[in-house]
Amino acid sequence: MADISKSIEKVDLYEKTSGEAKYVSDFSYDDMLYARTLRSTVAKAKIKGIRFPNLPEDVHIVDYKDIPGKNVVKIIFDDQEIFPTEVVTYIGQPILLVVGKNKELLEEIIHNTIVDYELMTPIFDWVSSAVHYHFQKGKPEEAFQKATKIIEYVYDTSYQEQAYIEPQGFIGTYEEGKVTLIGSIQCPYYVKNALLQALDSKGDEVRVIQATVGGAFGGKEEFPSLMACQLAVALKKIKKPIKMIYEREEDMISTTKRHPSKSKMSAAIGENGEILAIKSNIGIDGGANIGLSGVVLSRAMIATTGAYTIENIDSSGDVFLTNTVPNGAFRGFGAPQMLFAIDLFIEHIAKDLGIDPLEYRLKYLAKQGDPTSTNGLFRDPIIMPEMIKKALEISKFKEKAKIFSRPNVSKGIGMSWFLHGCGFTGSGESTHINALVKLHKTKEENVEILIAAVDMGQGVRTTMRKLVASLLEIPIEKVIYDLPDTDKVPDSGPTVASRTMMIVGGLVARCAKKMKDSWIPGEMLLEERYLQPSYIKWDEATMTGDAYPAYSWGVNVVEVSVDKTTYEVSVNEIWSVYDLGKAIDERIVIGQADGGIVQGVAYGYLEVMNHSNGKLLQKNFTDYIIPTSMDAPKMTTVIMDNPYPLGPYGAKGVGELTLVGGAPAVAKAIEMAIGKKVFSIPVTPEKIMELMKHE
Amino acid sequence: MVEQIIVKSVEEALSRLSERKYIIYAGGTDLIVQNRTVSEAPIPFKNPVLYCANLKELKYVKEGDDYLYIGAMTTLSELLTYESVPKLLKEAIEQMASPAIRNIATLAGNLGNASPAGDSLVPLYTLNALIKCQSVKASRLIPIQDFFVGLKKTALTDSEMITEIIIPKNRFKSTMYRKVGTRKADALSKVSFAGAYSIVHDKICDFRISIGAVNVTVVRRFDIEAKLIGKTIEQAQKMKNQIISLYLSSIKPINDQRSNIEYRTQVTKNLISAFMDTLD
Ligand SMILES: Cc1cc2nc3c(=O)[nH]c(=O)nc-3n(C[C@H](O)[C@H](O)[C@H](O)COP(=O)(O)OP(=O)(O)OC[C@H]3O[C@@H](n4cnc5c(N)ncnc54)[C@H](O)[C@@H]3O)c2cc1C
Repeated sequence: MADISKSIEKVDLYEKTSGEAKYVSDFSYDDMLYARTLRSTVAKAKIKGIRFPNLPEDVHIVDYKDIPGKNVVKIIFDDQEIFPTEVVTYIGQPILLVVGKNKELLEEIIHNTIVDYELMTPIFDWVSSAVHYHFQKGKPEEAFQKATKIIEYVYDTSYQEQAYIEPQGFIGTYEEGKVTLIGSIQCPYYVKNALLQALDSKGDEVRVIQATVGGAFGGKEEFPSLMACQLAVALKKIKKPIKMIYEREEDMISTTKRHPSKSKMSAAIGENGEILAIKSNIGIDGGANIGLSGVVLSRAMIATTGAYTIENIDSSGDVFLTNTVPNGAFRGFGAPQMLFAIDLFIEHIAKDLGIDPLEYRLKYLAKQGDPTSTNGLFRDPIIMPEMIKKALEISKFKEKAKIFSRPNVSKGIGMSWFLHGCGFTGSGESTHINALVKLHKTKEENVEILIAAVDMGQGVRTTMRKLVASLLEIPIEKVIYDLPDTDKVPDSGPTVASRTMMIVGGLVARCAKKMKDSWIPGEMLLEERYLQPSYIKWDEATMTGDAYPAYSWGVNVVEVSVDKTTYEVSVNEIWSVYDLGKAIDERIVIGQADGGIVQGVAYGYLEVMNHSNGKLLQKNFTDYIIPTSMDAPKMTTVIMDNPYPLGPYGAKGVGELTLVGGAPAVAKAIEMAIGKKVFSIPVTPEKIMELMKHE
Repeated sequence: MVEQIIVKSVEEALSRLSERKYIIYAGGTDLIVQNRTVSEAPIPFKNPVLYCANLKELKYVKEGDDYLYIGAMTTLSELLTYESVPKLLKEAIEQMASPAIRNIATLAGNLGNASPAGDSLVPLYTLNALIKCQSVKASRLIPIQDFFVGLKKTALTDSEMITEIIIPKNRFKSTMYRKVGTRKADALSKVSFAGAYSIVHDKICDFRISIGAVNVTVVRRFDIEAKLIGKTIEQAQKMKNQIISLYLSSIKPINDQRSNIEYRTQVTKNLISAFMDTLD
């Protein structure tokens, strides 16, 4: 059999390039209405009343009073209302929907509606902790007492916007008591479960179908549930098809972003310059409600020592609530913030001690058999030494670092090492998700993959079909994988956490093997449910044990030039080496790698978003700067096989791994180019100017 | 919806303009963005629209003895194909927007839009460009610095349109163009700079600096430039700090979502300094 990694044509190549693929905005129905959103213009207030202009008869207002079920968006914490009953807590928060035939008229109505607010005092400082976690490994207090030196630094990260090209959107119908939504989403069952609670409906009264998705990056994980609940309430009230698609600016001001963070790092240094212990305290800005922030926080904290093994750790963290747009899932999910902090921190410790950072870092690099940050076990082989060797070789890191470290060269090269835990954090896979997959062989001898996993551009429609075709030894044309529809597919969990190929694909592969072994002509239906490997133990309360079943690893090297006149950064070239188990399709992995690293590096130097008193200042692509192809340099990616026994063909997670190391690598490269330590990303020209002022 | 007319000739365009106020639509790359509305709805133009992009009469680049003549509907991409278009202007155009936009956008549109961050304005100031504004009755040639009368305001009247941009032929010893944008393409300028000079018998005989995006219009100071005329390079270098502070007195950079006052000021200083370092 051919190597599974050998690339095939992406199955949706033609429909996407020809324009045939149907995105949610391409759907429409006769007699269809539009829904537009009235939003809060203040950061915190009580709504005293709402004064509408004269409303035509066929224009409907939909608000909290119309919700048949619970006025809560079902996510993890029950702290987000579908429509506010009384109080708004951030600028851009949806208050109600205006629904009607003529979109321009709806705009006019919204424009002329006056909300009477009784202003309350908003909070923007990080003072109100809603979630606090803490864990220890070893004996950090003793280590700090023994220390001959303590090194402390604080690392800041800013917002990042997912910047999917297709904004959030749904279209819905109501027929014979049944609400059907077609949407641009990552998690059909998150949406369905949220709708059941909001509408107080039974399972078969709600149906959620995925349209072709034009990018998501985590932004379509939990956010769409809010929008879907609002639309479903409107559908139930008005009983006509309704389309609800966000415009770019309302999408940017009102949807979840990557959490800004502040990490206070301190290290206890022994007499020979060794690290005795690391203490980290991370605060993340949750925005106006908790949503997924607690889970984001725990992933960040578990990454406290990144790709390194440190004997003693004290890790704590908080989600702070502020009256700003709620933050949420974004490719990397908390890890990018901490990996930036730790990878720079270790580098800074080495610099302060006058030791070559590369040598120093190698001393602490995690090895197979080491305990993880949470006292789990790195069970599987770790091939980082070979990967680092390869990265040094292809990038000529050492030679360049030597030249670039001289004054006035204005060039720099930086290298990050990182890992990413694959799948849900802790026992999430078994307690929260409990994934179920099915494989159905039809009378025509076609094999249908029945899973809820969403292709949002990352290529899972290709890789899943390829996987099944390969295991069953049938042509890929005989394998069917339609866009998920909750009336047809079981809940195989959300398309998040780099879990799709490793976890869902793993189950699909087991199903396929069983089908092959018991193959009979005609119909067959097999299913497989997730079982936590018995050796994986996790204690939620103390955050100890195996936080993830497996880890993917990576090395990124970034070379930059900094313009001395304008402080602008040019990324000259990027080299990456990854261990993702086994690539199910090389080109698809390269696609993830190229996009991931560009997004990760841009997080480190380019993408600026901030708010002023709760108002986001960058609300379109003129002002929120993501890299163009002109900003993306030459990239070289090396994939090293290191098969994971439970993954299909040995595959582990890919999607997030390729982003998380970008920021520390580019930040270190800029450090070298300007000869100053960097503590805050994005490292903009404005920040570089400030750093260089203090020559 | 407003009236929308595709004009067939310059004559028709001018005669319509003499009757009432129209929006002149060239490439539309500013107009569409500025008049955007919700998806699936027509663009809510506030005045009737004259579509002029198809006017073949205004698509040309002609070279005379002393001047270069650019027809108002020539696209930015087309301009890049002419050898006669000065390097300073080409360098600016190459960094404007992205290929798709440059294929329809025009210089006249960049001038008509009158944004202080309009990238072609800066080299056009340095090149002493003249803007030809035509109405049914008359035609005026306006030096570029008089064409812009305030923030997003031009000297153009409702009955006029730009038909041509005229650039005197110059022979500079050296020029320098820099766009400091937010990224490498599709970027708005935080600061932009176009400098040029000439030297005869070891003395500076021509010295020009234009700076964009740091005030309501492009900054060009003939009085400061005059101070350097007749000076040797050595003398000019000694005056560098004085020259820089004179320029700083005429810039008014702002804090916004893209940058801040300190950065814009510092980079302006650095650019003037870097340009003066090229004198040789
Ligand atoms: C993605 C993107 C990137 C961009 N990047 C840049 C950039 O890097 N730098 C930059 O400077 N600009 C940029 N722009 C703005 C725009 O493309 C330029 O200003 C362009 O030159 C406008 O030309 P146009 O022909 O499209 O103008 P239009 O949109 O047709 O017109 C602009 C204005 O000029 C008026 N006008 C047009 N022609 C005439 C005429 N003949 N007589 C009188 N008035 C006239 C119009 O009435 C209107 O007010 C960008 C725009 C977009 C959408």
